[in-house]
Amino acid sequence: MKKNGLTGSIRLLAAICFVFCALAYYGPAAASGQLIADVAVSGDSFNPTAGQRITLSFSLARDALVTVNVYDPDDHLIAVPAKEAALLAGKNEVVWTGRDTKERIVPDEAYYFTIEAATSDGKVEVWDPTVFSGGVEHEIQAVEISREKGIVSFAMPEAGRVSVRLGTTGGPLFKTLSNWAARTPGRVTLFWDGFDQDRLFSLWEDKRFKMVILYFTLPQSTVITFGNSDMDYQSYRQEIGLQQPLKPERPRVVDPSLRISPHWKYDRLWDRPPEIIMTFPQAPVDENGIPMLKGRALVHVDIAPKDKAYFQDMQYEICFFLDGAYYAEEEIGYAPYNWVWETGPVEAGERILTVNLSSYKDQLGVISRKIRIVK
Amino acid sequence: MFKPAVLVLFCLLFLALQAGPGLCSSGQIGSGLFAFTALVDGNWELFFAQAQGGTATRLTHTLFDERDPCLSPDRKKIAYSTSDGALHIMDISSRQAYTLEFEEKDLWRSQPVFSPDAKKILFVETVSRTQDYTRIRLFDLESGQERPSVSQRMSQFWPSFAPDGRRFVYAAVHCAVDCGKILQELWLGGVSGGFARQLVLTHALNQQPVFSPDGTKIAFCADISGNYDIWILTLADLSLKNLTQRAGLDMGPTWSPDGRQIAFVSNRGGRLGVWIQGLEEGSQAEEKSFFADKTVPVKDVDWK
Repeated sequence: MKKNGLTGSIRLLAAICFVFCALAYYGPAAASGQLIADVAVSGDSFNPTAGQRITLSFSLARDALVTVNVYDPDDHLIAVPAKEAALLAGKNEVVWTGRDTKERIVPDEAYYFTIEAATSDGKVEVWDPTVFSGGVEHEIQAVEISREKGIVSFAMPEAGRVSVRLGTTGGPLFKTLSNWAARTPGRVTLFWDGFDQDRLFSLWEDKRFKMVILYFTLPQSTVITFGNSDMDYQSYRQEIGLQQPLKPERPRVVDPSLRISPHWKYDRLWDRPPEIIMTFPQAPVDENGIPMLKGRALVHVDIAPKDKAYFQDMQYEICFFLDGAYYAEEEIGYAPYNWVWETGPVEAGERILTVNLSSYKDQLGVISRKIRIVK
Repeated sequence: MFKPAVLVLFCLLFLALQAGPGLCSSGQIGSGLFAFTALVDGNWELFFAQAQGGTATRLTHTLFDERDPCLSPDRKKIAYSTSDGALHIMDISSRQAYTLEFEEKDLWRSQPVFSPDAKKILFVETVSRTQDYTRIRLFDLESGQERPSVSQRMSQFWPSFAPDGRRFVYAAVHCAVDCGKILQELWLGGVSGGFARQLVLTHALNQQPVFSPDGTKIAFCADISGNYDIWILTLADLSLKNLTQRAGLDMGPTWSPDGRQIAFVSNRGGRLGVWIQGLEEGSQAEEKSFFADKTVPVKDVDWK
């Protein structure tokens, strides 16, 4: 009995020690790590042009020199609201004005913070939200469509980048309504009058109409800026982005069962539908300017000049649809693409030819043209 | 007093002569002929060029796209497809080309390859306009007859004969829409049908496989690493090696006649072009220029 009692006591003592050590090791600071914890931002979005600011708050387990960096969606360093600031243990706040390192107001986009803390005894901890958050893909199926008001509305449960594609079941993509635009949690309302991209017909009237809404999450601490009408993100990046350092890459720790969107780490400059042109080099046009195709007709598909820099030298799947039905496909296509279309078997009359140009990284361009088959 | 210097000079000259075109480092291009397509006048036209020096010679002047050139083993002919879904064979010296005739005329055909004896062509055929399905078939150039090769429910692409002429490697689509991405793996099949087996399991999109001249390796393009690179499969142990390992698009590999180098199409130079790299460790790729105007995009290269 005495021996068993002693063994039990030892076990109890060991358990207490284990719990104590675990608490000491992880403690309250382990919400994010040992040093940095309770990271939060004061809002999902703000308008720097209106003088608004955003506050990043966090707790330090110990006094530390802290650097807070702001990164753009392509991991370029945009601003440093705090550089080796001597902060005390406890709750701290750092304010970002929405301006970059050269005091320019940043373009409307989604930005995130990182925190680096270094203690006097050499301990360094980095809080980088891209390590443990962001990129998780979801589909939104609950959508409200109002033809009268011309709106598409759905709820975003969390901050993310949203893609809204419109087409028909078994048919082509006819329009991209939202191309991975950054959205805050809450109700999203998009305006759409029901027409395809080239405004040739109304998708409302097609019984096969289909809408696909996907989003992937943005990293924790993301804030979305708005209100900058002077410069968009693409112009900003092209003008000054290349000179800014990239965030160091750190290994991700994410639940492997989660589906990570391939768009998560695509560069925002080219992760978009390429603008396509489609012409009929040898075809005359009728009185309404509609190309008249007869016999063997040449269809020339190319990337618009403004997008050639990004999209010219890629590989595409090129699909042709006639009046919304699959017609022909080139599995390994390049731009320009010159399709020789044998129109003999096609019924005469006015038709709509649609091309989907799909890159292997899911950039999907579309164009539709009216043509007239003549015999 | 000059004899030692002369002797050294002689030795160096002797060694240099021994090197010749057969011993290729990444800086020296092997022998043979290139066939390729280049974007001129708004569409892709067919060209050929000597591997060592020489500029490109244009073979076609059409309004549509020429594609997928394949040189015959004797380098006298080129099989190719056009963007109207037809297959052609051109005699290089006479520039005369004829179109292969098929019973089913409306089907889309592409990716023709010569057999080692140049008597047959393997090619890809789209089954019908309403089905997204392709199959590989065999065309006998002497009889003008065609027949199936390997019958599979999966779409088949990119056939390439083994040097023995009895087998071929190709890519088959395992999954597409349902998987959220295209999964296309390499298979080995018998030219006369009867057997096929999967060669690798990469969970990636593998395409454009080509046998090495000695039949011991297969070069192909794949996005195994998340980016389209050139990979080498060694058949003895089925090991894989990433040859190019760069961001950007590297695709369409073809072997040098001596099997020591790979030519491939890449956009690493800012536009589509042909690059050549040796197989030895540390080998650097160098661009092969075919035109004085270096901005001309080039793709679909074959080297024999």
